[in-house]
Parts: sequence; C-alpha cells; structure tokens
Amino acid sequence: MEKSGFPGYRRPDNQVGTRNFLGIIAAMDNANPVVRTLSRLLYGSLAVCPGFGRGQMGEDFKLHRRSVIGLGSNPNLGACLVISLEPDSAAEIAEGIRKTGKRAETLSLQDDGGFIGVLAKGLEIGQELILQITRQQREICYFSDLVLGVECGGSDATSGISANPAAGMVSDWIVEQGGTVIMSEPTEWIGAEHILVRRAKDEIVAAAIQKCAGKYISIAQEQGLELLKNNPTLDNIAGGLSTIEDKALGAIRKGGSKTIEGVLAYGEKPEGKGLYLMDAPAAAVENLTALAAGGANLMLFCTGRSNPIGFSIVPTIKISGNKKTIKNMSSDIDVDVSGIMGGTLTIESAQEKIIQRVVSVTAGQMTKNEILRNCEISISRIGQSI
Amino acid sequence: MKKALVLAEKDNVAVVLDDVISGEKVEIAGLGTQDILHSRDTLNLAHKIALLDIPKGEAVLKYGEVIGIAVNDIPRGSHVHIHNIQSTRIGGH
Repeated sequence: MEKSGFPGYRRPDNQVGTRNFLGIIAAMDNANPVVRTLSRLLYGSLAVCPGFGRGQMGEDFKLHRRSVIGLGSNPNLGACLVISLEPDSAAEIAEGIRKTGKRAETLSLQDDGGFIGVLAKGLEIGQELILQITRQQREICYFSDLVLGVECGGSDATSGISANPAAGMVSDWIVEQGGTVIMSEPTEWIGAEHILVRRAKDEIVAAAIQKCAGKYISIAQEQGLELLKNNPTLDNIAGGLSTIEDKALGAIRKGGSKTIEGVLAYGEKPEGKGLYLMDAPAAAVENLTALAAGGANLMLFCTGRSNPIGFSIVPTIKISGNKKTIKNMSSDIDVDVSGIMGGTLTIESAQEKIIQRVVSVTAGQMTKNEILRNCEISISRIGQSI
Repeated sequence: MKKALVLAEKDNVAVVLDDVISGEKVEIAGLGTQDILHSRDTLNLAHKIALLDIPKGEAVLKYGEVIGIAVNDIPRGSHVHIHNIQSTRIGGH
C-alpha cells in the first residue's frame, strides 16, 4: 500500500469526485421521461430520476427535497441541469446545489416549451455544461478525501464471515487515512446494537444509535410485522441467515471497528471525518441513494448470493465471498474473496485485494455494474402522497 | 473432509464452508479447535451446524453473541436454522 492518493476531481467546496458527470436531475417524476431522453443524447451526462417529488408533505417531502439536493451536490457531478414541471421546485433545488460552488441550471416543462422545448434547450445547455466540466483535469487527491458508503445486499451467511469483515478492514483503513465511512441499514443493527453503542463517540451518539434501531423495531411491532422473511428476506434465509441478529452481527462488520462519530439522517452529509451511521433503509437502491446524497464518492457493496445493482453517480465495487456466486454471476462481482472460506485467502489479503480495486476505481477504472449500466436511483418514502 | 468454522470460543454452532450431506464427517476448524462430527442433516454452504446438544429454550451463540433461542432440542450435528431457532428480538414464526 505505497500509494498515498489517487487522481480525482477537486471541487470548489473541497470535496473530491471520483467521476465527472453532468447530472440531469428530475425534480419530480413527471420530468423523468424528458430527463432520460436528454441523458441518452448527451454523452457525459447521467439521468438522475429519483421518483415521486410531487404531492409530498411534511417530513416525507423534506427527506425527498434534501436528498435531491444532496444527489445534485455529490462531488461526482461537475454541474447539474435541474428539470421540473414548474420553475419553482427546479429553482429551489438548483439553489441548494449551487451552495457547493458548482453550476446548476434549470428548465421547466411549463415555461420552456413543453417536452420538445425542454429537449431543445436542454441539449444546448447540457452541451455547454459538459464542455465546461470536461475541461477540468484530475489532480492528486488523498484517501482522506474518500467518503466511502458501505452497503450489503443479497446477503447470505458467507457475508458476515468473508465479504463484510474484509470490507470492514478497508473501512478501518480509510478512517485511519483520515477519510470518512458511512454505514446504514438500521434494521440490520438489531441484535448488534450493544456492539455499536460501545463504540459510540459519546453518550449522545450512543442514544442516537439506540433510538434509530428502536424506530425500526417500533415500526415492525406497530404493524404487527414479523421481521422474519422481511428482514432477513427469503433469499437471505435460503443463504443461511436464520434471524435478524444472525444477519446484523455479520452486517455491522462491514463498518469496521472505529469510533462512531454520529448518526446521520437519510441523505444527510457528515460534518466531519471518520465513521458515521445513517438512518437509511436496507433496500439496496434506496440505501445507495441515501449514501450518495450524503456525499459518498465511492461505495463498497458486499453481497453473498448477489444483488447485482449498482449506482450511476457513484462507482460501486461489488464484493462476494460466496464461491457459487463468483462462478454463476461473474458479470456482476468485482472482487472475489471466496478464498477466505476456501482457506486460500486471509482476511488481510482480502483487504489488500479490495484496496487495490479502490485505488484503481477511484482513479477511473469502471466497475462491472457501471459498464453494464446496471444502476438505479430511488429516494425512500416515509409518508403518503396527497 | 468438509470443514466448518467456529467463529468465537463461546459459540455452540459452526458455519459449514461447503455443502454437507447428511451423515458426512465434518472437521470443525478455527480457534485451535480439534473436533470431528457427523452431520445429521444436509445443509448448504455457510449454514450452521450444532457443535453441542442445544436444549429447547437455550441461547444459540454465533460470533460469541446470542443469535436466537432453540425452539426444540437440537442434537449435536444438526442443521440450525429457521425450523429450530427463533429470534429474541422481533417475531419468529
């Protein structure tokens, strides 16, 4: 591990991008089609269609708006074009994004000539923005600039004894380098809260961890839900995970062993460096979206039986320790750590293997899901649309 | 011989490192353990096998932590999974 950094895009707010795209953002789902059409036409752009965004109220609306602005603020987007049905929502979102110092332009279907009007103007504006952002070159950046989102999905019982602990060692390494790691999925802390609480920076953080896990316990109990078969899911169960505690004790290992600095809301950015937890649900797409909105510029996605999904804005490295998955789903797994269970790879060597991939992906090597465009975005809902 | 890994000293289950057929001998490895048992069941890669008899109502320990309670008596060498262990946290079956 002689390298001390990677070539990245230094942004005006001092965040670092591992990618450099124009984000074309749909403020609400009625703008999804024009956004997708534009992004198909403009090379170097990404469609950011998080769904919903109209008729939402209260905390549900705040979460959505915060997350859309968060996605636009992600350092992997060099600039944004925000498109909505009407101009006010686009303007508010763009204003939020501009706080990062990047450009954010707006268009609305109502004011800019409907679908074809927005398409034509979007091509012009988009081309100009991409011309501008692609002038920026990569420069030397440091592992302390990394904001790593860690996710597990399609877990099975190999996850907790191979991919997750290996990823956890990488999490530790990033924190040691002065970087940031964010781990979420509070349902998968249930049964392991005492371990997390022990590592909380102070009593306030400890209480926040308990409260966050407790929220999901209350939700399940109020709805008379059995967690079994919801979490762990049927594929988790087929993969050997028997209870939520069984899953959680393996899941939390991906966050490593460092002090927990705070508990973030869905899509909230951490204030400092180090390890943070986030209140974002376990479903992979919603979770990756939350981590990206919180500023992650790289993701490690540990899987057992495989959930192949990735994320367009932020490169997502897939790791599996299940030799059957490696063999059957080779199009979807970036790093094979099945040697841990096979006795041919130590966890330390697995950590090194993952770090090598981190170094190359942050510098520009694509991940398998990136290449296949197997990526999705979705912001969680916590309320009823009206 | 197929192997199973013990993760912590307190554990009464081990994780099989490969698919195991009922009746097969399984070597228990990890933490300096030296033990061989006969599997009573057929179980897939990464599933749990009981290292000891676990009486009904006792805690099932993995990673040195409680992962559930035995809902039946579980003899040594049995598959330990949703049919015989229940969460201590929410629901069960």
